[in-house]
Amino acid sequence: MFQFLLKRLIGLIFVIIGVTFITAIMGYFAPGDPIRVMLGDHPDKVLELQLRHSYGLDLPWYQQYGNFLTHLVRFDFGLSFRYQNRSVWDILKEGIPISAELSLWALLLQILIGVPLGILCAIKANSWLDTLNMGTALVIYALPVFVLAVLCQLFIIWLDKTTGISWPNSQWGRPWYYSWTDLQYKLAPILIYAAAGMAYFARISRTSMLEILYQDYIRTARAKGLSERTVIYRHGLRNALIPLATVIGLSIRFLVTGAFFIEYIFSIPGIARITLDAITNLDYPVIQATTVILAVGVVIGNLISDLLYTAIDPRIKAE
Amino acid sequence: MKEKRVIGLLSALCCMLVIALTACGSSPGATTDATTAAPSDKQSLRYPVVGDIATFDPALAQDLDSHFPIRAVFTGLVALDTDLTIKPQLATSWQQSADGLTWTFKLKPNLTFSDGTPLTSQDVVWSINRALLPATKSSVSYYLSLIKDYKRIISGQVPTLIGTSLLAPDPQTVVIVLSQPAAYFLQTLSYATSYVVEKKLIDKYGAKFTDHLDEGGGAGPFKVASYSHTRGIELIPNDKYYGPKPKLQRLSVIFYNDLDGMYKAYQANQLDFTPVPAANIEAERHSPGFRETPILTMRYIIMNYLAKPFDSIKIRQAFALALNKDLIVQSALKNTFIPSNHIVPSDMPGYNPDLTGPDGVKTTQGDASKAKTLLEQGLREAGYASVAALPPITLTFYPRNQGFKDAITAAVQMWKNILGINVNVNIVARARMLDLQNATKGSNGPLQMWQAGWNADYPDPQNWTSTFFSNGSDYNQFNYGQNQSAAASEQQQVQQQLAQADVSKDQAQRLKLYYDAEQKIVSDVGWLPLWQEKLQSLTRPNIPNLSINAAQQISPDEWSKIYVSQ
Repeated sequence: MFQFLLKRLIGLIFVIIGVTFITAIMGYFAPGDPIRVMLGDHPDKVLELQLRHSYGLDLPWYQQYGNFLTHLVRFDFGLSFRYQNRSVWDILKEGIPISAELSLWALLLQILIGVPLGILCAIKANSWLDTLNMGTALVIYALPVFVLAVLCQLFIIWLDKTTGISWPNSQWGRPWYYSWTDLQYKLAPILIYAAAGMAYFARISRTSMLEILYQDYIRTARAKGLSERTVIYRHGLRNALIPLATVIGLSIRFLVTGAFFIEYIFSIPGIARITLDAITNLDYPVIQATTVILAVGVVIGNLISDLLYTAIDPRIKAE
Repeated sequence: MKEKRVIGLLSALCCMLVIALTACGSSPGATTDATTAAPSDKQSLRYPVVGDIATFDPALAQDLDSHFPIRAVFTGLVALDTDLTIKPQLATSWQQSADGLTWTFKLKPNLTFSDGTPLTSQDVVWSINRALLPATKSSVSYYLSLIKDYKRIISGQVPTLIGTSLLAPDPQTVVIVLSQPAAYFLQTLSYATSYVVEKKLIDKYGAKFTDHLDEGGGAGPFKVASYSHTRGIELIPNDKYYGPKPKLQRLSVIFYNDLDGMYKAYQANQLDFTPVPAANIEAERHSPGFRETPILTMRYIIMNYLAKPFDSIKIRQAFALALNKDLIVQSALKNTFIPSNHIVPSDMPGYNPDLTGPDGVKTTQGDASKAKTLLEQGLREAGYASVAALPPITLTFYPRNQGFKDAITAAVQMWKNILGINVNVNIVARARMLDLQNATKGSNGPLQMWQAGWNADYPDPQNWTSTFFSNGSDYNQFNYGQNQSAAASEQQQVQQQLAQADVSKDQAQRLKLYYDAEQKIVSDVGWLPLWQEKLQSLTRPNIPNLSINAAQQISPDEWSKIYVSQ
């Protein structure tokens, strides 16, 4: 296990070097000059030179990249171009808890509601309950999340106009606080974000469980007289969870990378929105930082996914 | 049994949602009683900006969203009033020396920052000097470029201007020395770059002082109660403010992604004011609280004087008169903007109501027959046998939204229909556009013709004329005056006229010079103005006096008139 983790850690370093190198090269050679964007419609040559020097952008690309890596070791991503005089880490540390909170609650709802629903539908396959649930799940899954989000906002407006009930349809409360006001902000985005994933988890669980229920060893378990409960929960469920572990592992990266559409539509100041802003404003230090975080998130998500495999199925060794 | 449990759980979740929705209280009935103020605990205004704001530091701010809270918390020697005239703020009076190079300001007595620390002339000169220091990394220090030795300080050649260009001979007197006389100097001081910040706070927290503004920092009508980079800024009245005190007891500046987010939040009764996105203007035109304010933003097409065929004045005029701007604004922009022939926008000092378009055309509908005649003459004079002999023409632009794309498409179609000229369209990202514009100065490319826009830095005609059309100006990327066209010598005379207007102390004479220069530039098609923009907004009817001026600001003293009615 230790060797496995060590290997992954070494792999992570190479991943970070790779992604930072690619983003640095792309940033350097991409059309558009961040200092000109900063100056906007005011082409002041002397000021442009001075600012280019202050941000180290007058250096050759390999020196800029070297400086970036040197600072990265100290977990310093440099200064943002857009949010002048603010460190990138200062900006990210505001957004990460919000994205993590949104994604965590959504993921929990997806797993806690989606998985049991899928399992139930598999057990009651082809019943009205299965048809109804899977039909609903298909509709929700087929609807893009941004459509669901906008529909939800319009519903809130309609509610205010017709009944006078006022409810926030954008913004986010204080991260990890759950006063009534905070909850009002958080409920709609979490539910919408969870809905699409919930349908996805339900469909995967159902398919996976159905496949297991037709396996020979399940038939054997039933033949030897085990109760249906034991057959399903001890022999069926555990095996059905293996493909789910991959999906859950990959979903973990969203805890840090955020949900782009949800954050944008609901004006949630998470990491996804910060990234979109950075791309719009050619804020390369922020783009590089979020790319690193995304890469780390994917690697850690895969690692958790592998560890879950071994926990669920001891035949798979973490090597 | 299990399915009942699951169904029960889902039902319970739905019930909780419904209960939660119904329990959250109802929106207050909108009242229109503008005479009676609501009790002080109801004096609260929720105002949106795109946020997190780029900065809360006046020395760095350049976008409207950052300026809103900055202008509420900080203040300078002067500010713009509702009608865009200069009004004293920290200064009570000022004098200009005979040579126009030295400005002496007298401060109001007993000024203090919001934490009670006395505010003196030392603070004023220190703040202006700070904005110019390379260490501050201000990308807007050019607003102070009139100050003597500006270039030397921003490039680090001199460590400070205090004692040379910025002086504080006594606690009540500020002296600023300029590098050249400038009649518009006070207007440049209305920009936040010169606003006063509290040294004590910056000494304590450095660049992060904006995270500690609840401890002081400004001297404006409000002070900061809290600032969250993710949610917004809570402002409360500054009881040490020298001017009339705000009636509002709380001003919540709330952060949103964009106009759509603000508009939806307003509809859900989460805000008291919102700009209206272009797509929703028609639907809201008759809603209570809907308002249209012409703002100091112009959109126009530029032709490079060094690029053929635009070195011919008649071909430029033909392109200008072939456009029916009324039709473009009506069809592509749904009448949300004002078609214009002007460089200096309406609703600001220096606007010339008598200005005509090229060749004396008075309307903004163009003149198709004149355009055709001018094109024929232009082709002949420039030696082109026919339209087919013209070099390929490309219009480059950065589309801000679909309306812009539609407007440019309509213009291209008009040139095709009336002049028989095919204009290619090259769409680029904003960053790329800025690069191309910079590269075009002094050259016949890469840009031949492009669409651009300008939002006034300060409401003075100098900012619209001399800024762009002066000899040597970095903004003169289309090579007005410095080209080989037949009109070049006349353009150089206009440049001299502008230089004269910039320093003239006689305001009437000054405006006359700008009027005349603007007319000559428009006739020469230095710019091909398209439209002036308007801000469409919604305000809750129970906030009767919330008005934003054409510079999209609320002047400091105006806050005392804004209140929530019962």
